[in-house]
Amino acid sequence: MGEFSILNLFMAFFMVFTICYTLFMVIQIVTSRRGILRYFSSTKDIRYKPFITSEMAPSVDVLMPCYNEGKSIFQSVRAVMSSKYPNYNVIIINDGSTDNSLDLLISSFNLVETDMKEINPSVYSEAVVATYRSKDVSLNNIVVIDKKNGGGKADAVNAGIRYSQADYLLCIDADCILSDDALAKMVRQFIENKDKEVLAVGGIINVANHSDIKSGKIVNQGGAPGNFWVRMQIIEYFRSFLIGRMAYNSLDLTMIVSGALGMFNRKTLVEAGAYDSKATGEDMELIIRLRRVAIEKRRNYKLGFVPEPLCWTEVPDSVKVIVRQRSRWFRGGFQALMAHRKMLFNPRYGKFGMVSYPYWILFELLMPLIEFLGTLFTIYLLVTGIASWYLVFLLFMLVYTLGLTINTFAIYLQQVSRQRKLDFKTMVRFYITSLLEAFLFHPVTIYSALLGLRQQFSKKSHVWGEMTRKGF
Amino acid sequence: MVEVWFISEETITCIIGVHLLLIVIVNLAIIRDKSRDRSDTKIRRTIEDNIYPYIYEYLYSDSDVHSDTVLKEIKEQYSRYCSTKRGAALFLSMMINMMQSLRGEIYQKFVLLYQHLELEKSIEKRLKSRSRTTVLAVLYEIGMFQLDRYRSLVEKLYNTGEDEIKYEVLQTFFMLQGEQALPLLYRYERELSQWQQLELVQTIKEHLVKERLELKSMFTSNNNSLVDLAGKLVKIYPEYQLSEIQ
Repeated sequence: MGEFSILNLFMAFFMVFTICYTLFMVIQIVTSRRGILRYFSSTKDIRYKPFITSEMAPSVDVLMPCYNEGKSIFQSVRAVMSSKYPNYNVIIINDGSTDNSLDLLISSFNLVETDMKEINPSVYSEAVVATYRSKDVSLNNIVVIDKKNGGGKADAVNAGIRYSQADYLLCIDADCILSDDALAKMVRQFIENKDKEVLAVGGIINVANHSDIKSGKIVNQGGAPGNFWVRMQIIEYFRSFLIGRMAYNSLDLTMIVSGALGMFNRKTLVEAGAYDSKATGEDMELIIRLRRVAIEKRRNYKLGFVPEPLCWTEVPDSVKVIVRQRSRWFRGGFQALMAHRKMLFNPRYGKFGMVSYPYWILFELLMPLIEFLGTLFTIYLLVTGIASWYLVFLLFMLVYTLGLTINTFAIYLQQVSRQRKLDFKTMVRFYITSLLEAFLFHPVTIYSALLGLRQQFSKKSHVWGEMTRKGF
Repeated sequence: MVEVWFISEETITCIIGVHLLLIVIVNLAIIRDKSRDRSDTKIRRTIEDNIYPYIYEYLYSDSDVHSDTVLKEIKEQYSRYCSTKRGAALFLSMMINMMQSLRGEIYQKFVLLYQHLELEKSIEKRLKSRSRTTVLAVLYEIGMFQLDRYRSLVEKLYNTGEDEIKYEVLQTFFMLQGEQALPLLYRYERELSQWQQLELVQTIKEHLVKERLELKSMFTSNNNSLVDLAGKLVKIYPEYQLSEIQ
C-alpha cells in the first residue's frame, strides 16, 4: 500500500466520522431548540398554585445519599426544606461517613433515634444501623438513615428506597441545592401524561461554584467564575444538558438521567430492582435497565425532562479532581453499556437499540479513544511526511471551529431557556474559555477517559467517588 | 494542492468558513434575544414603578371618591407607559399574576379595574387566534375576570376545540359560574390527566357550592378519569353520604 493510500484511508475515516458527528449535532441542536421553545410556550401559563396547595398532591421522598458531606449537607437539606410542595419527606442516608456528617445532622435538625418500618424489603442494601426522625414538628419530614458503608452511592440510595412509601422518589446528591419549585415541576411531568407511563424525569443541573446561597437558595449566580476549570464545566453543562439531554429526550433516545437529580415512580423502580449496588455508573445503568424492562414487557412508556435549572451543584475546580471524577464517569458508562450490550443493534429494542445505543458507544464511549489514536496517527503522518503541515492545520481548524460552533449554540440555548444571567463581560469570558477548551480541558477529558479505561481493565474496586468540596 | 478522494483543501476551508459564519449568526441571535429581554425588563420596571403604587392605592382605598381619582391616574399612566402592543401584553400578564393571589372584595375591585382599563378589547380577536397557547391564556383571562358575556364564544370553542381547549373551557365555566359547568363536567368524554384532576378539584372547591355537585353522575360515567375525579372529590367533601353516591 503506497503512502497516498494511507492518507486516503485516514482522510476518509476522518471525514466520515466528522460528518456523522456534525450531522448528529445538527439534529440535536435543532431538536433541542424546538423542544425548549415548545416546553416554555406550553408551560408559560401553567398554574402551579392549585397543585402546590392541594392536599392530594402525590407524595415524594427526596433521597439524599451522603458520605462525608459535612461541608455541604446542611445547606442542601435546607434547600429541600424550602420546597414549595405540599407532600414530601427528606430521607438522608448516611453511608458510614467518617466525618461529622451524622452528628451535624442530629444536632442541626434535632433528630432522635426511632424505629421505622421497612416498606420495600426486596431492595438490597448494606445493613442499616439506625434510623432517626426530627423531634420538631416543623421538621418531622426529615428522616436520617444511618447505615454501614456499602461502597457507593447506589447502595446508599437503595437503603433509602427500602424505607420509602412515597409515590415518587427524587434522588439527589448531598451537595446539590434544589430549587424550590423542582418537586412540583418534576411531579407534573409524571401526572400530566395520559397515555404513557413515565419511567423517570430529569432536569437541568447548573454549576453552583461562586454563587451566593442564602437560606438554601441561590440568590446570586455571579458572572463567570475566575477559575478556568469551573468556567469550562459551566459551558460543558450547557452543552450536555441543553443540547444533549434535551435532544435525547425529545427524540426518545435518553440513556441517562443524572444521578444528581432524577425522579422515579417508586413502584416501577422497586419492580426493576432499584439501583445496582455494584455499578459505578449506577444512574446510567438504571435508566438502560428500566427501558429494557419496559420494552421487554411491551409497556407504553416515556422519560421526562424539565429544561429548567432545578438544581445547582458544586463542580471540581482542580485538574486532579476532574480527572478522578471523569475517569469514574467513563468507567460507569463503559460498565453500563457493556452490561446491556445485547441491546446493541437489536431491532427488538427499536430505536433505543438501533440508534441510541450505537450513538453512545461510538460518540460517547469510543470518542476519546478515537481522538487519541487519531492524534497519534496524525503525528505519524506528519513525521513521515505523508501529510503536509497545511493539511493537518486545516483538519485541526475544522474540528476546532466545529467545537466552537457547538459551544456557541449551547450558549444560545442557555439564553433561550434563561438558565443564567449572562452579561456582556460574562459572555466574553465564556468565549475565551471556549477558545481554550481544545488545548486545556479537552486533553484532560481524553486522559481521564483513557485512565478510566485502564482502571476498568485493572478491576479497580468500586467505591464512593470522592470529591474535595469547598462547601456552600 | 492536496486533493484526497472527495475532499480537497478548498472544501475543508469552506466548511471552516461555514462554521465561523454560523458562530457570527448565532451570536447575533443571542444579542437580539438579550436586547428583547432588556426591553421587557425595562417595561416591567416602568410598570412596577409608575403604575403599581396606584393600583395598590386603589385596591386598598376605603373611599369611593378617592378610588375614582386613583383610577383616573392609573388609566393615564397605563396609556402613557403601555401604549405599545408589547407593553400592553406585559401589563396584562402582570395583572393576571397579581390577581391569582387576590380574594374577596379586593378581587372584585381588581375585576373593576380590568374593565375600567378596557383590557378586554382584544379578547374576541385573541380567542380566534391560531395559537393554542394564546387561546388557553384568553380562556383563563375570561374566567379570572368574570367576563360572562363571552360565554357563547367559549361554548363554541368547547364544541370545536381539541382536548386541551375543552379542558380549559371547563375550567373557565367553573370560574364564571360553577353550576353551569356541571352538565359539561358530567358528560365530559375526554380523559383527564392526574394533573388536570387535581386542578379541577381545587377549582370546584373554590367556585362551587358543594350541595350542587352530583357525584353519582360522575361515578356512573363511562369516563374512568371522571370516576377518579369523583373519588378525589369524595375525599374533599367527606360529608357526602355513601347512599348519595351509590
